[in-house]
Amino acid sequence: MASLREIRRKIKSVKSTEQITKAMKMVAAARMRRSQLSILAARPFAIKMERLVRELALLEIRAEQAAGLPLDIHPFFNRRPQSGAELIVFVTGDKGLCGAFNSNVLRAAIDWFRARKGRKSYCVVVGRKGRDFVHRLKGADVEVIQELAGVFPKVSFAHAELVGQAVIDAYLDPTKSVSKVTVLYNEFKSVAQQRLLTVALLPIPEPEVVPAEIALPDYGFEPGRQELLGALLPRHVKASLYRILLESQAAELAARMNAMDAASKNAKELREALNLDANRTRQSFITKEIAELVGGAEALAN
Amino acid sequence: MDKRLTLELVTPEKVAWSAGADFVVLPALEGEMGVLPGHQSFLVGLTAGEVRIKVKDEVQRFAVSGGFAEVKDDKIALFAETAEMSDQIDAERAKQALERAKLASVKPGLDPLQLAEMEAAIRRAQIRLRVVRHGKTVPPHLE
Repeated sequence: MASLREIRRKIKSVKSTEQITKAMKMVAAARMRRSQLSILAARPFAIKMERLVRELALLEIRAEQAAGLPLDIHPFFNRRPQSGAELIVFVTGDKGLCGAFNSNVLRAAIDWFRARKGRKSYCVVVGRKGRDFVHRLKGADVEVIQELAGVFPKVSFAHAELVGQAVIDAYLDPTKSVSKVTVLYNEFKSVAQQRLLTVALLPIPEPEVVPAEIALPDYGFEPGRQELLGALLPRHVKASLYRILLESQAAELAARMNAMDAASKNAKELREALNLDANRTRQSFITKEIAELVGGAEALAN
Repeated sequence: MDKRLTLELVTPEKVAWSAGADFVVLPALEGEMGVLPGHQSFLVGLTAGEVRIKVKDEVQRFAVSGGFAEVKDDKIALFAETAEMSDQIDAERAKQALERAKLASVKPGLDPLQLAEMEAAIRRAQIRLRVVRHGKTVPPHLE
């Protein structure tokens, strides 16, 4: 059996670990709340933008149908040949200690690259963990277009703009012939649940054509409709990316909170077990001493 | 005049301003555009500039950095990348930014893209300064 001193030393170290994990849990919880609020605050813009893009696209489709032109609203809507290269954006965290948060994304990214072996792919990576991952990556024909690390937990729209511009530039670059842009990230489903999501960012699915009876809003435009749509769509893409970054940020913090909660619980259990051990050792030591004392006294009495 | 406008100024990060208004001036691409209640439905692209919102006799100013405005049924939805209210702007910092940008823009050997960026920075700083300078103190008859 370990000596009392050894056990006490172990208790001390477990205790300090427990304090650290507890503190990290609190920090993650506070940041997560703030991050949830920013998701809510970002919602009105995204919702309005989505509606506006849809209405404008529908107006455009109608106008083109009326004019008997082939449907060509905007490059962002056009489906491209499947043979082209693909672009993936994946969002990880900057730090570890958050359970399977990062490894989930990275595992999915490996699968993604494996499925596209022998084909050219491009990637944009957000988060230090993801960046380190692509630097280690070997054997796949991947070109990193943009990397962004150290932005969490203070993601702002400026970051989304940076990522969005890189994605849009690559998508519109004819020499790259990118046919599809996919985003891989963790969705903040609830505090206890994060879900890995793969969503298509570009091309944007065409809005379902509504029957001609349904009137669309009648707008005046300045400048023209097409120019407006052309200016609106990049913003729409960036707003979507911003939402994704915010979701991932909240999910990371929630994952960290859960991981640290579990770690604190484990540390507490361990500490209690060690305490029991220490007490038992101490008690057996006392019992032994008493027994010796009694034995000694009895020997004297005889 | 019992009809009023409702205006919502949204940025990707938050709803910056949401309230009723009597008269709104927008920095449209082709010059400033005033919107009164009963305005036709309109979708307009905005440039970096100043948004003025008149509520009774008070004027609220925002510096916005481009975006869109949708006018529909007396509701105005303003989408801007950034929107700063006059009292959120630090005049000193804006002034410094202006100086910096002006210095940087005369440096030789700038390619056109960089030059355009510098010019945009100068414009942004000037708008900020203008918004701050006027604040809420301008009497309504000068609007």
